[in-house]
Amino acid sequence: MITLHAAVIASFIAPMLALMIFLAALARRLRFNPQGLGWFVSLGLVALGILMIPVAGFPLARVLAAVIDHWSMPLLALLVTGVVKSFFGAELLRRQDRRAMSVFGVAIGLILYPLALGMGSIDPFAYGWHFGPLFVLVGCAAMLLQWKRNRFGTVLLMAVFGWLAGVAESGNLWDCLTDPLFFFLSTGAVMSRLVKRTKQSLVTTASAPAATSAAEKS
Amino acid sequence: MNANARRWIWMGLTLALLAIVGLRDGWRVSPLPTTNFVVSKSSPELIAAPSEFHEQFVDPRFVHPSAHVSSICELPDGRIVAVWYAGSREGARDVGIYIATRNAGVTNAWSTPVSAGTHEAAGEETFRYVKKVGNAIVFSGTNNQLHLLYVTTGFGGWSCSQINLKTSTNGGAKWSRSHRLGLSPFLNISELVKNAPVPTADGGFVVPIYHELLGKFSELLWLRPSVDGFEAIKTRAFGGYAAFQPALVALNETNALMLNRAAGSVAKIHATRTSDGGKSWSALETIDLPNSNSGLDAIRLSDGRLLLAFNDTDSGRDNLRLAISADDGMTWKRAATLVTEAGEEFSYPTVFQTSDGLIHVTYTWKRKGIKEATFNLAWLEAQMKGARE
Repeated sequence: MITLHAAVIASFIAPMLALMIFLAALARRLRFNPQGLGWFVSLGLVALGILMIPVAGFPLARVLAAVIDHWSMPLLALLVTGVVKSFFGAELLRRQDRRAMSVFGVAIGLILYPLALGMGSIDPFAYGWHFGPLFVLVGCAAMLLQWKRNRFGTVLLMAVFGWLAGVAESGNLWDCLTDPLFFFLSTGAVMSRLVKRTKQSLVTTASAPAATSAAEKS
Repeated sequence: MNANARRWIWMGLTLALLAIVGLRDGWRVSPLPTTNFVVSKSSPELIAAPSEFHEQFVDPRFVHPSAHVSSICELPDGRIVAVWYAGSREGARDVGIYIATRNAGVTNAWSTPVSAGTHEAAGEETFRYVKKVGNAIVFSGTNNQLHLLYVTTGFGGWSCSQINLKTSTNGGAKWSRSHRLGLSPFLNISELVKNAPVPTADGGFVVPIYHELLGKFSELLWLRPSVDGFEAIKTRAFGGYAAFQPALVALNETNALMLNRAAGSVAKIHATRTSDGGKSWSALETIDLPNSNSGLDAIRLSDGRLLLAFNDTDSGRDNLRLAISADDGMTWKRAATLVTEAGEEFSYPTVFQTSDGLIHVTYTWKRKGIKEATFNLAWLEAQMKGARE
């Protein structure tokens, strides 16, 4: 019914990756250059050590697991991208991949969470238990993105694979596709892009008449 | 390898993965399991027995200042088992789940209760921090299995609860490790249980559960037999804010009635029905019995009628009555008063009919203990006649 071991391992991985990104940023702030395998292993062990600190009789990661029940594959992919970039300088998910990911995160979060919390009588979460329309939709989205050479397509493929491997404690595909933290991060990313774009268009609109009048004067 | 080839490889892998899942699981347009309810055959001759009624406390010692939310079922050897939670107060960290058994019959006393779960044990078994334990239900399965579903929270109040499952093969003396069921996409919170499940033809159960975070509504937890115990999936009966905490009564293999506690402004018991094994449910409607935002339970009796235990008031919980329906819940008649005392609380009834035909109602008595009323159909019939005269 539940592969607790997979879920337990998953509950350590995501916070460990997040901590590694934080520690690498901290090291940079302290004028170190945390690049390479040595730093990766060292800070990885430090992060693991922090997550093993006992709180109320449990490792910190398992106390966190009492609140954050699961980590989705897109969020894990973002964290892995962050870690690889921090320690090795490579970018696994490019800007366009992350952009597709955040739009996906906002879209499915806005559909899933209100309905799952009782708005209306349809429960989309129920479609994640077994192979059915949701799987086909996710598969089609993955293939479309792969056709467009967007790496988020591979992340969606990994989500289905993760579901098959039982990394979600619930056994529901939705839990591999999204989680509340991924939804909030995606919303933040989309909102900041919108704000930036609005600011840019306002600047362009404001500067256009000025440029025109300057041109007329000259 | 060029980018074009990589693109085709990834797309091929995606198709292959979908094919693997599809071949393993099969295509399902509807998320609901295809199975029927199990309904025992009617045996109306039981009414001919002499009238019997007896009341007793499940734990007459009153060790804990507070006790609440009981559940009962019958073990394969005929013994009756009850679980409830007790501690210094509802939601306190010292609250534990307790279990007691007694031999079949009307007057046999309950055994001394033993612990069936604490927040420490639940944390250890699920390997995560657990703040408190709450509502628990117990039900018998196949192969002498006794299952316990209980609520825990890691943070927040009851609206942040999860449901856990554990099993005993020796009548509750020893339990397996608890498994936390992942049933909600939003932090897996706000899944609670109060009433007993209905067995399904595939050897599993459908448990009426509910959600009470932003909305208040009733759901179904389908426990389907799998290699390592049960596969747990959840579907919804209805959404919104009007009613929750359901009691599920199977009427036949495909039809069932769900009675719900009122959550909104309409202080009536809310009902909904299915005629396709739980795949779809009728629009929520009220029945002509009050509900003051209080727990209720209902069963199908051995003679085919439905029995409902409820607080017969639109404010407070100071009485507990029984009502009978002879037409699958279309109309209800008040049958008997189990208890009434102004200003007190008698709440959260659980009804169960054992294989000897006796009906057992356990309920929270003044929040101090769990009381059991045991009676037979003849007593119920006599009460109804008395009410008519």
